[in-house]
Amino acid sequence: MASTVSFTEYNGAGSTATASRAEMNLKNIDDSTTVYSSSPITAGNNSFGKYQAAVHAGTYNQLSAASYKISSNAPGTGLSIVGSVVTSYTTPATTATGDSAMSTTGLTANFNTSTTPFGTGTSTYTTSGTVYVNALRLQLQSTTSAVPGDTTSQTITYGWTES
Amino acid sequence: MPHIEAKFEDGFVLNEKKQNDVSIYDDRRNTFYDILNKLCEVDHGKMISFTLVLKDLGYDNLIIDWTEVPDNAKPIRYKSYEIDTNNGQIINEQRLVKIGFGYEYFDKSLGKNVQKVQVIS
Repeated sequence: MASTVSFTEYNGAGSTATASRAEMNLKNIDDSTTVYSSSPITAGNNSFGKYQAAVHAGTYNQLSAASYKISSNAPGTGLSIVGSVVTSYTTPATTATGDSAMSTTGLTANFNTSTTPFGTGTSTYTTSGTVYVNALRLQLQSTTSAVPGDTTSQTITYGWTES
Repeated sequence: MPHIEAKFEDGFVLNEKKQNDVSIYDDRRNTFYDILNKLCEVDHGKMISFTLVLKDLGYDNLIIDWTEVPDNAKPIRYKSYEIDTNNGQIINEQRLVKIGFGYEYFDKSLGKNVQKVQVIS
């Protein structure tokens, strides 16, 4: 069985959770249902911030070394992707999150609790069962020089160690 | 997939793959939990070997003769994984990127823990 991982997304003022997300596209709406092509980000604006957290289940002895990274934080002219690992939630908006360029080498995250990713958490986790990892907050920011159309796709990688 | 196996004095073999990596004693835990916490030793005697099974992949198994390690030795086995998005889609397939296998013990003469670990990536 080993440890299994899924991703939960959080939206709205109440941080509504949607489990087992299948995609991570950045878009001009704060929900987990609208396809990105129906809510494009226009040049000079930002996407809504997106909160997604890795969730471990299955069997393990200990979990550690959780991290998120991106293949490139500059996917095109006039475009940048910023991100951070967060321990609290604010309602997603298009105002700049204030985060730095998303790390291409890895942002360390902690294991929080069995019900939420929002909290300080610990770098190792030995309690059995489901555990939420601190959420990753991403935002696509653009200038007026951004070219219309899909950006080049970037890879988000979540990594961890288990014993 | 590389997996671990422990053999005990009475001949009992605990195999991670055969157990589907679920503890015999706690279904929320894994096979390594049983080995690390010596849970099988009550019924089967001391562990006599600790093995990383690689023969399925065409390599020699890594075998530690547990009768030769210091008395206070603890087994080590960790796995590092990654999971990716591809074109915005989350790929729910875990990629094994590294395995650490070996043991650690407290060396009284050095006054510190010593790890003997082989890392495979």
